[in-house]
Amino acid sequence: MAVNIPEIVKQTPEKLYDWLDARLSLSTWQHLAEKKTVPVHSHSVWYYLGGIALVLLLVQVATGGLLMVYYVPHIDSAHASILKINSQINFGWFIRSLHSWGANLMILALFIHMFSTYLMRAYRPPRELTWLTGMGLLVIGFGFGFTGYLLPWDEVSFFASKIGIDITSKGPFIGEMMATMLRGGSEVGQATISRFFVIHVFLLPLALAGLLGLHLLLIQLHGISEPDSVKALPPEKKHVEKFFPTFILKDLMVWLLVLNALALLVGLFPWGLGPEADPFAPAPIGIKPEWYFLAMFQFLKLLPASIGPIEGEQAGMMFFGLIAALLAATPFIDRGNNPIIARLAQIFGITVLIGFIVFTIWGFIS
Amino acid sequence: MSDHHEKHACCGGGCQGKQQTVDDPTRRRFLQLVFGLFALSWGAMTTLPILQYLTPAKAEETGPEVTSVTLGKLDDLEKGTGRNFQFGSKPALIVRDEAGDLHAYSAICTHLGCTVQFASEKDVIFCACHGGQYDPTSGKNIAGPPPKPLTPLVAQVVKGEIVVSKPAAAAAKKEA
Repeated sequence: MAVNIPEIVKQTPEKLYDWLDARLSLSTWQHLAEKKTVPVHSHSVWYYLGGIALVLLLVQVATGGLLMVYYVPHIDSAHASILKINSQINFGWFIRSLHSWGANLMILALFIHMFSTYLMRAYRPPRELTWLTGMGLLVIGFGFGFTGYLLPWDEVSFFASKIGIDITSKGPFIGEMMATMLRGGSEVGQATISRFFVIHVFLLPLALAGLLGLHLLLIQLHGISEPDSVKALPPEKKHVEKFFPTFILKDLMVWLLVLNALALLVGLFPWGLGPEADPFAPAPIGIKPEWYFLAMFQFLKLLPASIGPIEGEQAGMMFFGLIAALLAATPFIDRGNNPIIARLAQIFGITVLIGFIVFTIWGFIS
Repeated sequence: MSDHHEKHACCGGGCQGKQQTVDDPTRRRFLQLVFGLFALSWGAMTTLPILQYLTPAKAEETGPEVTSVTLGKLDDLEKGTGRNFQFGSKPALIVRDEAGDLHAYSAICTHLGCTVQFASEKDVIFCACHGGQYDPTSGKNIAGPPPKPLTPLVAQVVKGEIVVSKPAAAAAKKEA
């Protein structure tokens, strides 16, 4: 009695397709992909940002897996293992630089994606959850950046983690407990490396997969949002293109450009490694966080030691928390039925964006 | 038995009576409550061990407490300079001022826990992370964001060697 499968495999591709179709409902998916359209208008360029973040994420997954082959999450070996990757392993410098540069570009893409969707008011009902899952993904991105930064165990990463955890400890109610859990003790050391490693390669990827899945599912459910100016147009004046194959092919072209830009950055500016962390040495002069934390860093630097009864940092963190909460609440406030609120939401978004850029540049040059 | 009969009677049939018991709102609410309580206790039962597991073990934390360290000859530390050193599991800093007096502090910035250093050209204790400054002779916070002075340590010269101790240990030694 011959088994069916090998026969089918031997047969023509159409038969194989039929066989798979019967089992996976391929035609349903194909139909969905063909039915899906993407609006074409003067702001269409912003639609590529989510896809750019996605392709950069794929780069992170691939290079992260490769780095794990040689990286050793131990206080005595972490720095040496990165040094080995950078200097002895074939293409080690390339893989590591792709990971470091890719991470930065991904955060940048996420920022642009977030602000562009905000300013196009894509958060409005029924897309509140798409917006919230997107914000969650940005927070996960920050988490990846923060935990990954410590792993090479160089002096800058050591102090960055120390400061980050100290700021966490100043959070309300569970701040101190969270800081201890992150640190794994009273000092940043082996326990911290172990914990950050687990968070970086297990916990956050798990959370990311779930949240990203939900984010993409929501986008499929609600379709691509149109800005108000396009929404107001009569149907005959609206232009759309098919997601499959038109948009996806353009997407692929953009991804190719992004990957080229990444390769160029990696080739011209390979990612370095500072001297190994010494927990008893003073913080190096000119130490600064990664650019995406620079605005917060610069802002906190300006605050006095205490504002009224609370510490300057706590006041600062409360301020950032308030901005994040307002951004998260925007879809529930600006529901598209009040032009004044819509205007206020837009002013708020632009203010946050300009503030972020100004403080980042200020932090960079000071 | 009589209750049973009454129920049947008011609903007008055997099956109907049974149906009513299932739809009883009190019973439904009770089952929902029980389900909720089960879910909560299961949640607690799984969360608690995980939290306990992740809480750093105390035994690992506390090594033998260091109350004083010897830093070598006084002559090796020039006037108007400072040096970072390890005090137990924490960083510390010693400064020898222009007059030749010694001042020792915990080197942990009271702002966000970075490690401070002595900047001899400016004659201040300085934190590179957020620009906090302390007076090297008193440890007092004089500029930038630090909210409190540095925690002081006691520096003494014993037989030509610098010995830095915790204030309590130094006081106990003095008394003895």
